[in-house]
Amino acid sequence: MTSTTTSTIAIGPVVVLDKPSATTRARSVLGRIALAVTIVFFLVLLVAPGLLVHVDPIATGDDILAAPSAAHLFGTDQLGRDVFSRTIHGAHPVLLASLLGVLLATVAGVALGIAAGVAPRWLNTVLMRAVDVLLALPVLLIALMLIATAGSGVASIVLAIGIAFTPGFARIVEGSVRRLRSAEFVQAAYVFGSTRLRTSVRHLLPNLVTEVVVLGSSAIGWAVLTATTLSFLGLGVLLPQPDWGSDLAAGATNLSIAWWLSTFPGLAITVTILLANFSGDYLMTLLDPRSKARFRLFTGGRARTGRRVKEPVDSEPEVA
Amino acid sequence: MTFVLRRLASMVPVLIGITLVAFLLIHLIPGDPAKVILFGSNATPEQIDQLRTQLRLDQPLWRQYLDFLGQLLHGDLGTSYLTQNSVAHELFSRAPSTLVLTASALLVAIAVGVPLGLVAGTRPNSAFDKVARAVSFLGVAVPYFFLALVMVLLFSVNLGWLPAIDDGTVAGLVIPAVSLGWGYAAILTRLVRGRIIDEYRSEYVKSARARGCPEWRVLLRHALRNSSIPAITTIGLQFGNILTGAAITEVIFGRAGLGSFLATSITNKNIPVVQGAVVVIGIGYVLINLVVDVIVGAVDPRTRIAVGAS
Amino acid sequence: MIDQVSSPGALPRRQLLRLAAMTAAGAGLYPLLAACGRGSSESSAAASGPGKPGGTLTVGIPSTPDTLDPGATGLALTLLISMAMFDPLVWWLPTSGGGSEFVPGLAESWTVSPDASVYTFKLRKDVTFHDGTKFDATAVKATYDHVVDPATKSKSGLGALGPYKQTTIIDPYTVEISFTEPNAAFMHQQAAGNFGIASPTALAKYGATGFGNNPVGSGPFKFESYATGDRLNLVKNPDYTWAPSALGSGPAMLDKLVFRIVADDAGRYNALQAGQLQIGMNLLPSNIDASQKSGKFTQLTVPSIGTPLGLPINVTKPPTDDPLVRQAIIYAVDQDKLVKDVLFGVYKAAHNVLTPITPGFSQQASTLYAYDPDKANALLDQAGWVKGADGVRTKNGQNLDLNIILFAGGGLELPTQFVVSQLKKVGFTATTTVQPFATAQGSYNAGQHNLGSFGYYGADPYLLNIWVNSDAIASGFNWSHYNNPEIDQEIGKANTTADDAARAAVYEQVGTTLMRDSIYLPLWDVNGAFTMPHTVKGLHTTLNGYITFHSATVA
Repeated sequence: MTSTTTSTIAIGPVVVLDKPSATTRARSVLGRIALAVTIVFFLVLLVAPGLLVHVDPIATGDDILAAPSAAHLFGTDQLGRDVFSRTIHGAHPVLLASLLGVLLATVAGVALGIAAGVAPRWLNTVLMRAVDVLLALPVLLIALMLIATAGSGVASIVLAIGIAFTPGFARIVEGSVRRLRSAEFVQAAYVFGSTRLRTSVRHLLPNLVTEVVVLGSSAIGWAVLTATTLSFLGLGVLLPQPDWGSDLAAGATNLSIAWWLSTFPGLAITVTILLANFSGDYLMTLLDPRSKARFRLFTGGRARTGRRVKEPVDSEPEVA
Repeated sequence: MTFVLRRLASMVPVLIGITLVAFLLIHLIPGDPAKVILFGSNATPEQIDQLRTQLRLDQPLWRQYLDFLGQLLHGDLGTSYLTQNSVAHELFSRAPSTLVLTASALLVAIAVGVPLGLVAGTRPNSAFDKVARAVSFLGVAVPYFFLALVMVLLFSVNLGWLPAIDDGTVAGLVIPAVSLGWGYAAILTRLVRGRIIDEYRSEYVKSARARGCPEWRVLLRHALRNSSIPAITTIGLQFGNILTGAAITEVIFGRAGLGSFLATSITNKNIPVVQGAVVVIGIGYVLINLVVDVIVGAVDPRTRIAVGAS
Repeated sequence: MIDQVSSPGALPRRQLLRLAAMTAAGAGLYPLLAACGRGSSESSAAASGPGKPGGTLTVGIPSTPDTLDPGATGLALTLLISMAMFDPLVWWLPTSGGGSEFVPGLAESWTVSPDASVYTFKLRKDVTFHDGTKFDATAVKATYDHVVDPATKSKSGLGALGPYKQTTIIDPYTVEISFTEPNAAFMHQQAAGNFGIASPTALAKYGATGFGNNPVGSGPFKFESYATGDRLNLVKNPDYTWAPSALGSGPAMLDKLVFRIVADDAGRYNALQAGQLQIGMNLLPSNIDASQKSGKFTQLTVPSIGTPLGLPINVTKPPTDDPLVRQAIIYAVDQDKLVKDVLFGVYKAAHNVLTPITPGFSQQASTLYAYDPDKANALLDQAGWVKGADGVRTKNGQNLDLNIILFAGGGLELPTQFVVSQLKKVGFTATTTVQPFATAQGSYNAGQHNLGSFGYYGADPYLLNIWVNSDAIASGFNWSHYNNPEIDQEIGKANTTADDAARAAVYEQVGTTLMRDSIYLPLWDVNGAFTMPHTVKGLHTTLNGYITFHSATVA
């Protein structure tokens, strides 16, 4: 697959970047707003959910399975707990697991990708086969085993997402590194006696930063889905702490008599993924030199990619 | 043909790696299989030790792994701790259900995603494109397990149109396949749309048009062909994800499949079953990606050379 | 001799975690058996009134049988199935007055030696197995020897059989089963389903483990086919004329009986509403409640012998090593409110270590604790735990913190959160983690928990031996880590007492001591719950929380 020539990228648990339609000013304003909203939203939910709701999410009450009302905006659950408060506080484990998981995968994926990319052929083969192995293991399998081993808690979910997302990142980074290595300026560095490590740190990494940021940001939506899938199964949850996935599952059995139990966590997951993807797309148009380059090309300008590599005409397939 | 053989050969180390990783992980899980097996039989500690010896769980790990590989070479996947049936029997009686579920989910994804992406890509920024983009944005964002629950409530319980649990009919497959395939349809829509836009801007499409090639021919011959490559590759890469989704879908719809079976077996530390299932998953992964490569190679011969060289 | 744990989930023993875990947090909700509530009265409705013969009855069950061999199984659920395919020597059935009685099955009569170590059975001469083999003493010997054969890898059957010595064929229709020491629980055990008599021809033909895929008995239904993990098809045995009159007369009314495995609790209710199932087993209380309000379904809740579902309290790990703290926990929890609010009143609150229908149930033990948060507070004050401004009690700088470990699929997630909310009111803090079964088992045996989850379902009060015996701490079910040699002895003594009344008296005393030592926080009584449209009739209940299908009809 020619992942880097288009803005469409597929990694392990897939990340798909939309082809941005014409990058108009209006769209970029919209994107900027989405990004700002996302960041603020995520920050508040992560750091200070108390700003949004004052009710204790685990305090039980006698008002059981009450429908949404002024007193309880999202109703109450089977133990009389406030669903609105649980929905707000339930973001914490999900966002923490997703963001840290993606961060972990990014670091590990970039390290592995660069290592494989600059390594001699035999080592490259070994590393990329290892990546293949990880790619074949379903995230559920990894998560189940981790939780069985390391116990419940966000840490296990972070690790599971990290492991599951790493191979996808590694593949893409490895592909880019190999292309970059053949680029003139890197070749020049070698000529001037630069070592492998030095070359990767000095020249390759900065060139990869944009790609990595784009990849990482667009993986967050998938990480959120993965994290909630796992907690939907009751994995990693610490009761009675709220969590979108486990609250959704708990309410699912009562969907016909108390629709609000599952619906609000479900909507929260949906909105979060939407925001994450929207921001990811915007970041991509903002940062991706290739899409910018192409944009300029189409508007008649000449692409200025600075020290960046020329856009490859076509790249080797990704599936190896 | 040599291409296929070479690809197969290159996948052998991957298969071994997969079994090794799974082997190590399952053994890391705390819990004594002998105790789980004897749960409730009032066994004495001596009997538990005896069973452990009998299962060779007292052997060093590397020894157990080599035993497992040796068995595997003879086509023997061992015996389930829980049922005393052969693991092969347990797995193969459940495999068709998973295969049918994932295949129909992918079918839904392709049948919806490709045409949607195609039309949207040929008319960027049209009203249709905007709707398609919105739909695909939502498709990726709505969790499939939530969608499945809502669909069952609506179509099975309230309207009575479709079965609520698997009944072996096509009707019983509709909700599981649609809920599981929906997200992938959204991915494909976005992928195909993106590629079509790219292709329409490419020189050769421009020149084909300049030569007076009819629009449908440009679309099918050039644009669709090239845009199908990332779509197909993505499906190959999605293997592990689809299995995870299938496991959950299987539970919700009472389908006796591999995904849910694997999950249960891990929690019960049913080691032979987990190892066997991982082998099957590994083979499935290798085969699917081989098929993907062959298709991509057929669509675009250049990649075949590139792969061969790598 | 117990059998089956009903682990607080539908996943009794081993297979715990049916797909379960999978279905997660909420979906796996309560379990299996739970106790009666509104059901019993309606049970007669379901049991009475003949319907039309013919048709197929599909029962939605919550987990996959490990094997179809009742002698080998480790899963209580298998017994529901095996009772349709096999007959025991003697049935033990509930009577209309709320008591129980032994009823001839494949044995016409029986005698028990005064020390309860030798049981002699006179067999029927008119019985034929599904494969045409004639039933006689050989079959009885083959069945019991099969259970103790190591190759069978029997789980609950082996545990239930206890100190088995041998089966002796006195003549073709007289057989003697003897034990190396007195085993008063045996008459209950042999009736509970594990010892359905198997065709000796089939046992020889399919082998010790192969029989589990090809079960051949003499019951009202014959094995037809099994799609692993999916559905089990049984067909009517037209030759069946040896039914006990309490269960029916002549062959089964149904043409087909299907067990459909649907692990997801909500899935079973959905399928019941969609008409894909005629009986949904162990639905969630909320769904049972909704089904009753809809007016479309009959509910049959069948009390079971065993322990209530509840939380074993670890008597060795601080702070629950202090009896005052343990008592405070029991006083602080309002089981009646739990049942009303969380279980929709479907089941009955429990205050004891055994369910009320279990022989040896102690009424006195049930009255030891009544919900009293003031008393709980007083006990904690007395134990030196001081309430801080935030409501949390501390002692020597330590919070009064409980580590609660549940196993996934056990169905106690939501009820436990309710319990925690009540404990919080008297100054506890608590962390609850849910572990896969194999892991939780290890944690419990290692004593890492203050509170665990439990629920056991057996045929005789001798189940206490497995639960609280000091031998069962390191690798068994003694998850309270209760070590009391006197109690070990008392339970042993009970099982060597042939006289029922004397035996019950010993168990009552044991039960009272266990509650006094506060080793268990009982929550609600264990029941089998069966939900069906009004058209399903003719079911009979058993003492292990199940139903029989001998005279069931669907129209």
